[in-house]
Amino acid sequence: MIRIYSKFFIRILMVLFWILIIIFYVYSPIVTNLLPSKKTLNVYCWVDVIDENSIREFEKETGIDVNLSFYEHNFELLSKLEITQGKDYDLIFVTDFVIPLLIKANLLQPIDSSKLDFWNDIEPSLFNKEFDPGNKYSAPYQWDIYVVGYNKKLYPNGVPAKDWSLIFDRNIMPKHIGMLEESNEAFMVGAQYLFKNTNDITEEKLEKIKDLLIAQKPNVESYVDLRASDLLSSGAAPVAVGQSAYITRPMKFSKNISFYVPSEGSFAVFDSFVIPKYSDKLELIYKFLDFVNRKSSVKKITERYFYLPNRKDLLMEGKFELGSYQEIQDLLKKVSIFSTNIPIKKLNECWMEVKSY
Amino acid sequence: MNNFKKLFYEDGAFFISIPALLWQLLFLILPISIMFIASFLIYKSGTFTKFTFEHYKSVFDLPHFYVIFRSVILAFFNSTLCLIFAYPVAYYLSIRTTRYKNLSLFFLTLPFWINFLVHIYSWFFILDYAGLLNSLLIKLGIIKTPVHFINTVGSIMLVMLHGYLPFMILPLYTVLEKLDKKLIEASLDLGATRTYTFFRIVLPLSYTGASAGFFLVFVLSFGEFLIPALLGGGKTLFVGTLISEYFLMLGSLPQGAAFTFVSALILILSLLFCRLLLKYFFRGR
Amino acid sequence: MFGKIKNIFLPSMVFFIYAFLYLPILIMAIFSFNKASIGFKWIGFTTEWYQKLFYSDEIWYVFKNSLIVALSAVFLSVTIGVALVWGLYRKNTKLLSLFYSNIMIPEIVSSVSLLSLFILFSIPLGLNALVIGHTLLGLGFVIPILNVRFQELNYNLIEASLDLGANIWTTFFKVVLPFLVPAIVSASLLVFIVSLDDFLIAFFCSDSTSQTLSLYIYSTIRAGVSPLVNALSTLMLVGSSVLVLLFIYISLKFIPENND
Repeated sequence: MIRIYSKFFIRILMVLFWILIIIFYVYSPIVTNLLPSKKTLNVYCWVDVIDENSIREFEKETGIDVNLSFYEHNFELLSKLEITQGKDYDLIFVTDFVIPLLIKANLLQPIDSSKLDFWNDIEPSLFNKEFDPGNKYSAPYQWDIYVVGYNKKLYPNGVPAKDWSLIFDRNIMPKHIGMLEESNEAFMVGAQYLFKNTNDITEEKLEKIKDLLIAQKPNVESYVDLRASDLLSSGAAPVAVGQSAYITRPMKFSKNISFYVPSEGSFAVFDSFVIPKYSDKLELIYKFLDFVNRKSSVKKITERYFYLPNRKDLLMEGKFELGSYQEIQDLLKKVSIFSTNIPIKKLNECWMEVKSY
Repeated sequence: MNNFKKLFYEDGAFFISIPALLWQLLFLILPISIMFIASFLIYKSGTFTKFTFEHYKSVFDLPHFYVIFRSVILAFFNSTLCLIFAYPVAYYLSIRTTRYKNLSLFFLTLPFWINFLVHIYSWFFILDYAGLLNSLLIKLGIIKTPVHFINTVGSIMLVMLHGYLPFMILPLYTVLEKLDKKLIEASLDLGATRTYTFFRIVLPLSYTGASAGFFLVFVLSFGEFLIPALLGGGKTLFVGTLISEYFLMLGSLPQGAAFTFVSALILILSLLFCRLLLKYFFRGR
Repeated sequence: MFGKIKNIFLPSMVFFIYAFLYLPILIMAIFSFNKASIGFKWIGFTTEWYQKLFYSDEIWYVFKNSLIVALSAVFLSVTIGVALVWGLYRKNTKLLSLFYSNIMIPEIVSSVSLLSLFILFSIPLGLNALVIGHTLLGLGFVIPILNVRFQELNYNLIEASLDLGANIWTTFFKVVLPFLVPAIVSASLLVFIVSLDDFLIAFFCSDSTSQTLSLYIYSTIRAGVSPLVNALSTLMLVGSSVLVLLFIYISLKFIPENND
């Protein structure tokens, strides 16, 4: 009897032993994170943001290792950050509308702009936007305006309308268009077309926009705006919506592409660097930020990826398809920003409905 | 002393068997059970609250449900096409007795081991609007303007066929290989035509391999994520992509869990239905 | 007569299917040597894309991550897999069929449920999380392969060894393990390939430090066609083929052997 009892007891002990070992293994990253880390920076951004050669230069200059990780969608970023509390990232590159959400979720720490050399070189009108008043948490790095690109060869007499109706109105919409990918982008653009402004987006308005997007869907060639340049230059889609960077990129080697800024008004995005709350490598981060915001680094990025630079000097000197410095300034005054006052859950649910239709 | 040794061996065996079993329990069975339970709860700000059926109810809202059926149809067509194309290959290999048989088999399974993303990318390369296929067809004068191959359901089906064909060929080949050739000889000797022999002898005997392959391909294509995401242009959602959206975009665990289980249930029902179909087709009434 | 058609029809169909399976990847491999960065005109032969790959820090970093995860998954799944099959040898072998379902369950379900587990128990995501998931996948391959090999084991050998006075552990290491080596090697290769190939588990359970090769390729593919990805894919193609060749070679070489 005792033998059977103790045998059972021993077996329970064995199971507990292994459970402890597995738990130890599974939770070990928490322990290793507490150790003083080497000079590495973990940056979370998307694919065409930072140039690899610049990173190598930075690593050589400072001896700091930089690890890039990519993500695809802003909501993916939000979910991952909520799960991990941003504990493993040192620097994150996000689109503007995510920033208030991150601030509210208490995931960011403020940036001390006095420690950054390049702060005064940034174009002043990029600062103090409604998503981060005073720029306490974000350092604007790239910005861009949404435009509608079109293939001049397929529209020899010009486009029928230079506003959002080219992608929504059944009478003039082409059979294949390239559309935007993220929910907030698509819905803001729809709101601009239907209601001429993006104030007070209620749930009812969201429903109406959803119906508009569903009606648009049969004509959509692809929702991946990253490939807008491919779509336009290959001729797969005569019209494509996207950030001006995606549209102007192929203009270099394809003379058939042109674009316009919709007359009802367009949107600008200010992609910025933010620092997650739990990162303690502030010195390294500031060094990195100083480096990538140097005139030479920003120039390289602008020439390679065609986003609009944040530095005032480059904006004044460079030749941009959007126009001269003064024209860009005027545009900046007129564009709106993706508002964060819309009910996000309802927004994503409607977008899922559109996508699954 | 011997008794103690025996005990030690028994317990020793138990001791070393635990990790694997624990692994399976903790990381497969437990998570799925948790998800199952979670699908009945509401998850707000990090904690679970009341018990509810509302997640399951919301799955039956039309657009999401439609996605499940779309996946079933896709999986069904894919499995059937795979079966149709795999059968001749498996049959041919099984009746050939050259020394190249093993080599041919090796080459047939090699694509299975190559990273799936590489496969998808290579099709991208070919099917793109400005891609190889279009350029070739235009050069040959067959079409004047490029065809929109990519970003359509057709391209999804094509690449899925490409990806899952090896899964179907192997089980079929295994079963056909073990087929006693004497049976076929006997049938032919008794005066049956080749066609009759095939449909009444070979086909029914290959049922086990065919159904194994069919179900494997069915289950795997049902939950496919990569191909619709990359080749569909984000236009058509299937179960795989929708589940990922639930978890990564909406961040709603219980809803995603409920959807997953409803899809799983429908998958099992479809499998049972297909089993009947296959049995009828292969084995007759 | 009908048979004659079959003699032409069948082989040609088989040929087309082989072509269908191989042409896309071969074409992609050929074009990775193309000088042009876009388009399909053959401009000239070049290995510049491969050189760019070689010098790309980013690619080495993700490759290192993938390698770490794959090797850990192989080590873990083979060790505990062998332990399990040996522990259950001639006893409760029905339990092993529990593991056969690992391959059948769609990966999206297992990755998503793993993610849920990690969220609920605040388990940190990252390389460890990936290793956990890949070991799970690996067990689904290791256990069937080892089980088959164990069935071929002649129990008389073990009995003989025990009778001669060796304890069970010596028996294991000196008799059983050498017999298992081919199965272990082939299972390891399999798990290695599967781990490198995995996308879904990495997609859901990775964090900023655990970007893997598959994730990297996925991000770059979404942005469109790029010759670097061509070159990288070709390298992976060659790598996988070599590993599979090894796998086949080893399994073929050791199958006729039964003992010793």
